[in-house]
Amino acid sequence: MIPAAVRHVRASTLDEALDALADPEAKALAGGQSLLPVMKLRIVRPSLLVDIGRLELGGFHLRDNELRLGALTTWDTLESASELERPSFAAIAECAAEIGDLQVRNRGTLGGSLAHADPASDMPAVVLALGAELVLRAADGERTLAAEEFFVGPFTTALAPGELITEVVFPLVAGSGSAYVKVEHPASGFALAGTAAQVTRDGKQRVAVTGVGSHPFLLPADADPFDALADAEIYGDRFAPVEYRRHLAGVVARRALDRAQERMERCDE
Amino acid sequence: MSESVIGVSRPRVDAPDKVTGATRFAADGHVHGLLHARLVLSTEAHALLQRVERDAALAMPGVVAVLTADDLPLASAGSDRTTEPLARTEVVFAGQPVALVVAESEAAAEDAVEAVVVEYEPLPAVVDVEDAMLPGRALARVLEEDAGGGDLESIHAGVDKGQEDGEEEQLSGNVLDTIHRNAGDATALLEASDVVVSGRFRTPWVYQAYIEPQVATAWLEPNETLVVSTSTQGSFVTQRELARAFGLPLEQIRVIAEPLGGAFGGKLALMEPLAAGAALALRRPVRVVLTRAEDFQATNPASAQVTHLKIGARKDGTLTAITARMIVDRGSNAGWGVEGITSLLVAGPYRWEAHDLRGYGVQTNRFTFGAYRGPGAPTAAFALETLMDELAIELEADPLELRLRNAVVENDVGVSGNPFPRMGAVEVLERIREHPLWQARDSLPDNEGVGFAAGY
Amino acid sequence: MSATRRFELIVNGEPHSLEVEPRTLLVHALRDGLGLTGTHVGCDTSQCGACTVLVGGRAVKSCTMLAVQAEDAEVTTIEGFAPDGVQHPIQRAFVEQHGLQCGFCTPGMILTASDLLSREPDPDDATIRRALKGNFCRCTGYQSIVNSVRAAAATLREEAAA
Repeated sequence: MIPAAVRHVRASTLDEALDALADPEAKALAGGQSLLPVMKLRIVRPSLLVDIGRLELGGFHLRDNELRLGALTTWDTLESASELERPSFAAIAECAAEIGDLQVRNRGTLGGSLAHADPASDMPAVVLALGAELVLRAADGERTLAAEEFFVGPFTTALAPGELITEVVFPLVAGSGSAYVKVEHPASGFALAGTAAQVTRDGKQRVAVTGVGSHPFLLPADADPFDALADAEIYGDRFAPVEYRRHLAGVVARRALDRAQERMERCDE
Repeated sequence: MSESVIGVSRPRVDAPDKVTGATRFAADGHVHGLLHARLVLSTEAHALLQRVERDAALAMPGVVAVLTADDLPLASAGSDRTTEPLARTEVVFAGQPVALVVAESEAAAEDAVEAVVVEYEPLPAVVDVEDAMLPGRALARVLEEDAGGGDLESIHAGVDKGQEDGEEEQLSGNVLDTIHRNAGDATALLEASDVVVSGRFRTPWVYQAYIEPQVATAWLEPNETLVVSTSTQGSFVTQRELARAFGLPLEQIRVIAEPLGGAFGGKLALMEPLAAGAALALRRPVRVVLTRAEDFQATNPASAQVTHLKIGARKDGTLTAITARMIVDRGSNAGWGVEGITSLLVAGPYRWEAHDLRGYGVQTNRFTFGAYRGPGAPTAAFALETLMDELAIELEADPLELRLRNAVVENDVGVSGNPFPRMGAVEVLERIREHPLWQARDSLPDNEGVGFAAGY
Repeated sequence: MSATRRFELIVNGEPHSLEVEPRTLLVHALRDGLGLTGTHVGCDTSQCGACTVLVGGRAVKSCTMLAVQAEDAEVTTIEGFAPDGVQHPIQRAFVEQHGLQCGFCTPGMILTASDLLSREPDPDDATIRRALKGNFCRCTGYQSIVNSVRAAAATLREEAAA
């Protein structure tokens, strides 16, 4: 119920944050909607919290060929952003709108959730399906990583120690349609199976799945979802045994593809 | 002109305070010098308690005491949750409170709980309630203790217990109580019936899930009055239970029932013995507030149950006989059970020509069982009403007409042997028959249906 | 590591100073530090919403926020919702529409409803239910709560039009 004792420092610049995160037992705190619950259960016990919640890492930049989202953008902002009201980016707002609940969406951030990498969290499927890249900053420099290389295991990412996500960059694929569909656990709101889909004008399909395995993953391009999932390693638990979950993932993938297709057809870019 | 209060909507008198946050629930009151307690819960379903190592916890900042059963001034050697609020020697369910860490703050108490080390000698755990009944099976409780149920029994088990003749079956010592009600030869009548349906029904433990976690605060007044401020369903029964546990006269105990944040049957004398015991031992005010995790593990959900039921009827829809075997999982630490009630209610509001109903209260290494809104009733209705619908299908009869045909009226004799008083079964069924939803039952959209069940 | 931090924040329009361990949850700082017990603790897993307060006018689960994260913020609890003892229309609606029984979830419901209605003045029932997804009630079965929010919305719209 109450976290183990911890120190807290508020970073007023990104560099200050990165310096403080050099401590291997430090964790970055943004909205806290992923980190504080696990600290309260004492599953995670950092000795230092580096509070980045007030850094200027929110915001949108929509350029000709890409959408850049700041890591501290909240779900609430994404849910209602007019910049995302286009078929190619519909999955982002659609996903954000279904995360948690109203209170969680007021505080939870894009970067915080992606860095936490809960295997049942929603947005990883979207960043995978839309082919996003993550901009990562460390004390000694910056690098860009494709989403496909980012999620490597349960609560495990390719983030190096002391590294922060600063931006998520989505390529603008003109004329494409996207969607996010999930079936959630009624109590926790996490995905029993969630899928994001992108359908492009030249007929290419990308589908990513979350909530079914050790980490979110992309299906092989243009594959039929049910065929592709037949070989996937799927987790079972008391809420969804393996074969039920596998089938469920196929169903939501099919729905996401259909919806993305429909949006693409209505798109006039 | 008289103003009727019947059938007129009125605002709750306590609503203005509740919508402004002015209501003080049991965890809200400020008490000078208050200490905070957290529980150390057993991780073993069945074990002998060997040692509680408390030195590391006692050395932590803010920790005042780590109490075990011996530290509480209990006057009774019983083994229910009132007289054994902390396990003495035998732990009988995973989640049973074993020690109480008392500290200057909740955070310090929570820190110290992690430092308490408990050594157990595991014993065979009894978790399958039907298996537990068989002769020769391991017992859920091995040490002889006084298993009195105190006052709580009278609150819920207000029905007769039928004939008590446990001599027919060979049963293990886990079967604490058996109930048998029978009249006529139900087995023979079923064999002679035109249609018979049967089933085995399992219902799980049901947690009351009140939004306000359990809490009690206790302190001693300068004149030695023990005051307990608590979230409880019964201030007087709590007072009597505390008197029984600590050997104090009633006039020395004052129980304040604070506004209740939901209880639904689950808040009766669980926390108060802990808080009171700690306050008496330490002579300082102590508040026990459960975390939700503690509340899930250490309180008293309603029993799991297994029901074997068989009912029969004639072609014309007259019910003939009913046989039932209802096995109630009493869990641990319970001095009473719902096997009496549930094996009575399983006959439903219907007339039977013969019945043979058995109830068994079986102890296992599961939670202390408690009540949840009509203990023993929904579990019985679930089984019976399911079979009534199946019977209707077999008879090609309308499920409502089948029930109406057999519904009891005033003076019909029930399976308890007593005549029913004025009974609304017929009236209720007739009203349902006229209900628009029931009338529309055959013209609903795909994947929509309507059903009903009767009970009392 | 039990060093405390001292910081300022505004609660119900009044400046306050708090000195707490960094791990102290906002809900505990409000209840124990400031005696504002109308905000309740109902779970350990950020689900039940009984702890909901407003931070900067937005509904937040105060059990999922450290008190230090609220430094310099404007926090509104249920006690600050009806200044001078005059019921807010949302509170009045909960009383009149029987939106409560035990009342433990009620402050959280009211504050979440306040966030919703500040952004959507005319929500339909589905929107109300979605907004209240993070607030559990074990007594009412929710319909009377939805009725209360709908009624409050109507009152607020009338007041705005007048």
